[in-house]
Amino acid sequence: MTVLFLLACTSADLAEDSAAPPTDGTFAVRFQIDSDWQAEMEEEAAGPFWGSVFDAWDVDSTGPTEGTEAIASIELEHLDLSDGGPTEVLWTSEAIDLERICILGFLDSDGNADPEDPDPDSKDPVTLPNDNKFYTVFGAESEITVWFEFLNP
Amino acid sequence: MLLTPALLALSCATTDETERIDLRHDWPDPPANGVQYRMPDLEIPPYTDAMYCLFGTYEGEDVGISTVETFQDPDYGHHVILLGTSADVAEYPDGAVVDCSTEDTLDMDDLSPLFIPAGAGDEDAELGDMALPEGMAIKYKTGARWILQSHYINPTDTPMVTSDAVNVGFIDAAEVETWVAPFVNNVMDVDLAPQQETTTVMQCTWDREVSLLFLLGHMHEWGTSFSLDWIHAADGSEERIYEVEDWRVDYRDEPPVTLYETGEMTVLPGDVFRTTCTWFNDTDETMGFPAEMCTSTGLVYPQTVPLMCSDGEAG
Repeated sequence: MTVLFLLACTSADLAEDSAAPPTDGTFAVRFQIDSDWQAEMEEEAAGPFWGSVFDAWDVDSTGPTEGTEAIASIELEHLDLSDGGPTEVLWTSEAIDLERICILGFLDSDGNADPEDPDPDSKDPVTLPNDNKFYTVFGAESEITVWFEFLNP
Repeated sequence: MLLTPALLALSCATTDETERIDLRHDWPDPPANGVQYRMPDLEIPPYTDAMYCLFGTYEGEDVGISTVETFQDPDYGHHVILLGTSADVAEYPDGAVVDCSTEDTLDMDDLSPLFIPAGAGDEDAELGDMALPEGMAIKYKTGARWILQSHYINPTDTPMVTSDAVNVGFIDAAEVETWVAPFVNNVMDVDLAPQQETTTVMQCTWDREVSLLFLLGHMHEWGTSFSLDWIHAADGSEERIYEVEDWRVDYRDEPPVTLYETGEMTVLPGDVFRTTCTWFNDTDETMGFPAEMCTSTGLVYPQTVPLMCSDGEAG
């Protein structure tokens, strides 16, 4: 009987050990703006946020390489960074199976972006690619902070 | 090509010390409130024009940079400068050394203004040196990435071994009286047809009153002339404040610099800087940014973050 019990345990352990490792993870996203760049703004650091999530390996210093498409979009009706942040978690991703992501977007602080084709205009805070690349922790949720450190020229 | 310190050490270890020209020196210690960034030992092969870039990240508290002093062998070194970078840490990790001899190996897009090397204003100053006036400093934030770029020309038949350094002096942020930052007026839309001359004119309007510490022009090997005109908003008058009639290849890394005393040169809101660049593209291919560039840049105060103007009213 004891022998059978041990055998049963061993089989169960083996089954657990052979389970496939996780291949994706999620992100819980906060937002923050650099105080020096915030001081350059002509209006309050608040408004809609329009952003996209890319495979980080398809994004260079100036943005997504030609032909790259976003894997997800982030739209926040009102992102308030008037205190600089970091904010609470304001967006959580679906499961992502990429090794590394990049979040690019802008804070429409003057509220004049076209919802059909949102683009930043002068002085809107924007995220820079290499400030906003994050590794995925497979099987877990990673808390990250999207960082604004530039105003669109 | 990414060279790790281990590979560099291996390549050095396999070379007979007696057959190398040793250009390593005991450089001065950094200031008490400062840091030293030092290249690992680099071997410059015979008859080689070589440039290497060391990557790092500043991890101290936010401070102001008030002095930069570079150290390089005076006989064979061409220049060593400290630059800011936005390069991806995964692609260029801290401590990595990259052969950046050509634009292909390190995109100009990855360079960002940390400070603009201009010499300290005296005849002994090296290109990468900087000593700001008392109480002035450039903001240096934790997490800022930097590149130490080292350029050597070895005209001999013997390998050389070098190890350049830069000492960076800090002021506590609370003690900085006036922040200084770069301005960069840059043409992104460079489009040079093959086998012909092209001229681009770019106008950037100042939106604030700032004073300049110095300014310089930047083009690459195909540049032939460069000028910068200051158009005063008050009366529309113009004055040429920088001109290079015959742009030389070596000006890419060591251009002429115009220096100003404190308070000597102040622009007002509405004033315009008009940059004019002329190139001759003697290749059979159309050339664009960043193979060629047209940039007016310098340091201004009081200013905390870089002032960037891309393309302005380019025409």
